Amino acid sequence: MSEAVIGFNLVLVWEEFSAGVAHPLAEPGILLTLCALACLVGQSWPASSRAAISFFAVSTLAGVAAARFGFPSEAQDAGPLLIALVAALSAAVAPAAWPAATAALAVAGGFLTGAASTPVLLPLRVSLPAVAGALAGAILALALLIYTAGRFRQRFGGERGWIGLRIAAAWVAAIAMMMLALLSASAR
Amino acid sequence: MRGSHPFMIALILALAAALSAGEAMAHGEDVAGGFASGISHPLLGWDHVVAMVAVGIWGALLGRPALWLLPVVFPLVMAFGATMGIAGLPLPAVETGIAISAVVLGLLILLALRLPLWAAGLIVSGFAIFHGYAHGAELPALADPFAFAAGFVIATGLLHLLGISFGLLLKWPAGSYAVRAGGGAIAGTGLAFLFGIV
Repeated sequence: MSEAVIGFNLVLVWEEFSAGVAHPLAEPGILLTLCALACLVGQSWPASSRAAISFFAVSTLAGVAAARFGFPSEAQDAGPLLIALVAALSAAVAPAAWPAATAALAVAGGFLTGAASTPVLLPLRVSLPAVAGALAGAILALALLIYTAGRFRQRFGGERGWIGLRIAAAWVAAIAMMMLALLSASAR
Repeated sequence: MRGSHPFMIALILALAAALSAGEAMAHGEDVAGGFASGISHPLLGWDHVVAMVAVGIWGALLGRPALWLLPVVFPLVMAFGATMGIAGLPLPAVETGIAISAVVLGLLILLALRLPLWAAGLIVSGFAIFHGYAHGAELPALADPFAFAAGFVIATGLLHLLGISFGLLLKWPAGSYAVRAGGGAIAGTGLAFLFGIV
């Protein structure tokens, strides 16, 4: 194999990886899930953020495996929206009430993000750069969003920052709820 | 707080631009869907606009925690109402409910009534269902779900912010009169819609 061909392949791999990194931002369900988790975890930042990001990251791998072994594609559309709705409602109504629930939502969000980022028609060997990029992008975006939410809360003081995050969470929940309704209506 | 004034001015100017754009679109070509459709939807009817602004003003009048709790409750319940409308569930007298919401909220501001938090939450939630239902039922079939929902919720939130900003005038005696007069104007607008004058 010539150096030119190897160079071309590396460029292709990099392009697919880069496109994958942008995938979570282009996929509304995943984006809303990340925003909702950030509103939830950011309220107790930095205490539980490392654990939540770790749970999320490990679960994305389980989601990729599940998608390869026949996890239903319908759930890949509605699932992230449902997690976004529950996480955002938790953040708006009862933030930090149940740390175990926050961890469970991070796990579920990561699992569904991994599943929704995995193309099932292509062999994993071919789509690996894009999938790896999508997972890296999702984990990085979650970490950045949690950091932003946490700093926002600190910057505006205890109560004001907390209120801002709850209002943002209510908006995310409302968007997720309407999207679920619209998806359900378009499926009928 | 001094630095927040330019932000408020920018917000009000942006909202005014959005309002005029919404009116233009209402009489112009069809809004096909997506973000523009979502953001213009709550701005196209003055009964909707005044009621959502009234929620923000009343929240400011009631003070904390209603100041932030009402803008949290309203979009959530409104989205629930929109879901009912999208699903085609029956809800009677929707337009009447919307007009009554403007009348009631306007009167609450005009009379500067400070109800308990639970009562304020119940009133706002009840009216939010009518507002959400009307938008959900009228939804363009081809609307892009994410863009539409995002635009819709953002427009509603901006209207609440506008109301809260106006309600903050309560800190000054003259501002208090202006806010209560605004409540009267909102109630009057609601009555005009209720009796089909506009």
